[in-house]
Amino acid sequence: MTDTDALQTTLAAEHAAVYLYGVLGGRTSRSRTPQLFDAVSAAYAAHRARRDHLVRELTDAGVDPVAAEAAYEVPRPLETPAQVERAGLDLERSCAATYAYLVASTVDDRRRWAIAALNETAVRELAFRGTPEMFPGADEHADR
Amino acid sequence: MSVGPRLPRRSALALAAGLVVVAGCDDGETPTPAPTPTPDPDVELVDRVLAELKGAERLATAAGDGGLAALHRAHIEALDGTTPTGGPARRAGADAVRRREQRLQQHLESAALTAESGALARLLASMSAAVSQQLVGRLA
Repeated sequence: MTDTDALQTTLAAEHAAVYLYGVLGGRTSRSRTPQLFDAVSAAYAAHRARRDHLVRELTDAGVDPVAAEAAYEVPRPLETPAQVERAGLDLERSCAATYAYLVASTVDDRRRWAIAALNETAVRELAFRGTPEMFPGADEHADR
Repeated sequence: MSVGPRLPRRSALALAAGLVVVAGCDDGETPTPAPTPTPDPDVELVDRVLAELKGAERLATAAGDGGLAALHRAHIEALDGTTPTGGPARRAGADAVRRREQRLQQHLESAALTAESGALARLLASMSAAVSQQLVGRLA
């Protein structure tokens, strides 16, 4: 597994995150649940920026970036703000595991970027009512 | 992926033990000097991180923040398998704890960046993210 493979895996996760946050954005209301709306909007912008960064990184390395799927499985149900929050939290936790994997698979600037992404995602979990964890993105250590 | 947080320390010990065996098997007339083992750079890195973690744990304990102290103990155990036994620091206030946690978070990020082992880097980055959550959450 090369660092390019790890970047492709991370990009695939970002494609999914951007898609799912687009769906979650459509299930939130700026007027009725402004905090949740802001959290989803901020998460969407952050993941879109990361996706674009990864596309540039791979393109600059002479690699064809993995393309987005036409659609992704959406968690159900998404009828209440609590369900949208839960979906956002699960998504951030999944991304944290991906960034932790990227940390292990890279060095230097790419690792620096992955560490920052892991930190930001762990903090974003709190916006979706997540509770602080012992080992964000590396749950197996908490189970020992 | 098997992640061995105790790998750096143990791999260094295993390397040293192997060299002793090799030196003992030499039956030639001329004594050959035992080769100098190449130190595992992650051993020193882990020692520095443990020192930071143990200091932060003592301060959190002194400040009466049991949750934060438990987080640091879990991180210490993940790195070297021991539970800290040092005495508590002098009474500490919230500002001192927050400053110490900020320093620790930066230290963990830096250590994750420089670790030779990818598995160790992942563990340290996860620890830095856990401290970030504390800084934004309870310590904000």
